[in-house]
Amino acid sequence: MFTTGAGLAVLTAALMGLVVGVAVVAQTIYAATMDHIREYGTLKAIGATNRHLYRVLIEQAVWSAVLGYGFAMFLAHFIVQGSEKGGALILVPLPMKIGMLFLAVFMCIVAALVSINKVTHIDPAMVFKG
Amino acid sequence: MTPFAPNPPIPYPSPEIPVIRARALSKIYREGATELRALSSVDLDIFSGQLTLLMGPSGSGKTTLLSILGCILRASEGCLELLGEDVTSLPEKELPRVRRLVIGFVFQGFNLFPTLTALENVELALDVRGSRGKLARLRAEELLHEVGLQDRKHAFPADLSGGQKQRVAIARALAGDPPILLADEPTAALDSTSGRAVIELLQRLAYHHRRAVVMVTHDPRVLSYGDRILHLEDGRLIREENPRHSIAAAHHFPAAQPSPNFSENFPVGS
Repeated sequence: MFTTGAGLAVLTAALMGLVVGVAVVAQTIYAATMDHIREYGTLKAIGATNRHLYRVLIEQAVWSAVLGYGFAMFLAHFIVQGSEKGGALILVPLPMKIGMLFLAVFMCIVAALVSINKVTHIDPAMVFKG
Repeated sequence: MTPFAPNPPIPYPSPEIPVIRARALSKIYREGATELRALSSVDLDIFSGQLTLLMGPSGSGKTTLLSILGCILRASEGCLELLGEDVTSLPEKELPRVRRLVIGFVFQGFNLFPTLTALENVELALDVRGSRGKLARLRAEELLHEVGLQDRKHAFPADLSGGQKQRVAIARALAGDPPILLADEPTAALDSTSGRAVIELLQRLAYHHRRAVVMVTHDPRVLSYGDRILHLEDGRLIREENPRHSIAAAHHFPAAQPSPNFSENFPVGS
């Protein structure tokens, strides 16, 4: 993997993709949370616990991960097929596919932490303000 | 079993015992060195089966009082008992449970979830209370039927009129079958016909279901519906009226003729 330097380049690109992915997903989930902040406030006012709200956010994060993973695997399938015709064969074995799914879910849950922190501190009294 | 023990049913108190009992409630907002006293030594007893109106000018402390009664805000001083239990001493993390089990909220701006149908909005409130699946759906349908909206259950809030939205919000507030309903200016954003339907519905919930309904309002049209009117000014409870005695019987809503069957007063499209 590290003989030619190509492996290192791919690994670096993958790590950067992971970091950028976490940032993008975090930003997206945070923006969605802020858009619905009043609704989270309403849920708190009617008695939802923070745990209930975490469940909602983590569910969203997991769905984002699963949908993103599905789309990525769909693209990867064609790229792998194309690579068979080219010079450099790309291998995506099943354990790697499974590992990627877990990584994507983990990444999205980490990304949701910022939003979780936000909803934890929502003041339910906001529902009575204009 | 105490009223807030984890397992319902919540006992409905006898008419002699106040559902809400507040003593010397005060609320002081502090920001740096500045202090704002929003409520000062409010004493209050609210009984089940009554529609109580909270009135007063802007900034008089009505919404602050409602928020404290609803365990959304904590009083700075004083004591609040709900169903005979002192909630001022409960830890913060216990308050959502009190709100879930004892209180239903109706908001001026409806606060419905725009991406959910009327039925799903009510189901969400049941979900918060741990009720899911087919039983929750049946209960949500029952609640929408109770507010006269069974035929609009699949409509999204954007497709409902103001009055219909408020009735969905009331159905949602009833999800936990709470003995206390707190409403923050529920008729303010409504025309007179829809406003009348909403206030009559709240009155029915107080009378027929023995709930304590407390409603903040600026709306002079609803005065004659209240059993008690509590006037707040500068954070103090300055006066109490019984509109049955002090206000002429004529309602201020046009053609208001409260019917024993209140659902007849829900005009289509309200």
